[in-house]
Amino acid sequence: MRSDLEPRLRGLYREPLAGQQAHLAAGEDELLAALAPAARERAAAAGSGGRGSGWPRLPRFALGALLGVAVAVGACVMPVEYPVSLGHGLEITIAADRFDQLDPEAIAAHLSESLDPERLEIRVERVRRELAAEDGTVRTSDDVRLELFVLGEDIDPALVLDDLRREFPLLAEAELADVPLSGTVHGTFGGALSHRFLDLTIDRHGVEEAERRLLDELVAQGLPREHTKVDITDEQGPDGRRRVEVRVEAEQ
Amino acid sequence: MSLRETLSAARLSRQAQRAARGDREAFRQLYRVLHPVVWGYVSRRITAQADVEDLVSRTFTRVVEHLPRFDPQRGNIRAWTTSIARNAVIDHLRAQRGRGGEAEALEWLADAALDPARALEADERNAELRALLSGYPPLVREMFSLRFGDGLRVREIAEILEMSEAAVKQRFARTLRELRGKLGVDAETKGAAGYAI
Repeated sequence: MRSDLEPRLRGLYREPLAGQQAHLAAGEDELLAALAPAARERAAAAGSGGRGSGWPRLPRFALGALLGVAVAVGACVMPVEYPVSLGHGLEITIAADRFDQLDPEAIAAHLSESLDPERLEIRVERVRRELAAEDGTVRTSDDVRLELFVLGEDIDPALVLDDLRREFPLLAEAELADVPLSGTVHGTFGGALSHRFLDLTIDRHGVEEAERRLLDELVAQGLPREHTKVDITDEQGPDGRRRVEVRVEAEQ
Repeated sequence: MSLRETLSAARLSRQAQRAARGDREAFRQLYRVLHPVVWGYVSRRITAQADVEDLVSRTFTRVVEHLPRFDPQRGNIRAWTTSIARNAVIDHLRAQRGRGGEAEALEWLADAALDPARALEADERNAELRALLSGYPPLVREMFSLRFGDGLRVREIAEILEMSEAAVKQRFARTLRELRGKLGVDAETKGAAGYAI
């Protein structure tokens, strides 16, 4: 049984005054008029080279093939362990005969709208399994696997999966799994610093720019530029897996 | 926090960031979500309609000016905006009451949202609850007004009052337990000391 204390507490306080909607409407245009000059002034004050100001917007989602990201970090000055998170892989497996009723693009569009991720990729895969019965007969099972890769801030895969089940009732009978694209890297100081760059910089600016930015960060952290070397490789393997390797070598 | 709330908070943060870069549509959406929050906060504490309108306008002018300082990593935009409204109300109360000190302003603020009309009601139970609450420090009374008057979440209250979330939860749990004890709530309910929001 719950006490009635909390409703009673709510009852002690005032209701807001009337007139909120009228005030909202009256002030909106004036605030919008003030917004642009304020932003311009800030931009002028910050100069034209503000970080991020010229970053192109990535497409909300793309159908593509990407299964995962592997990271390896090379030698550097101090060994450290640190967690890396490179987004979330969500795996949806559903019987092939139900796939016609599933709309991957609608799922992508929904996730794109609700999460506004930096990157969202989908891979659809048909899987045929042959299962041997005790009597020697072989039964085949056709499934369709939908793999989603979501990269963005504040993404809680458990909540996303719950949301998908609610929005797409067909998924109630599907297997939904979170495949975290993360783990602990037994790496180095330079690697710990570098992992922050892996998620977006390479995609946005390419490998050379990512190397340059990482080197700048390392120098800012106190490493001598002339004795610090950053080497990034970004490769797509024959199995569809993407491998990003960041090697940092430095001497102090 | 539910997914909807999480997504809503994340969406508002993104809108705030876009608005800070001059995106009018993002600001318009943000304003329409935040205006009722600010209006509610101010008008529960200030009674004169003209003052309420002035303080809400002032709050949003400051929001426009300071939007680039908003850091989504450090809190949510509702709490951040409510903090600006709270400062505006404190300034207003201090100006109205002869520039008292900070402690005095916080003392006023703690009870400003209480409904005086309810105090006149011949409901002994509410009178007792009100009297019990008045025995707590201003910080606790303000926590209660933010939670039960404004309907803010523990995390938001912690941000506004610059406390840790754990400390706010602990204060709520302890105070509610004490209030239940003093009000003679039955033993079964009294045992529910935890406070989950």
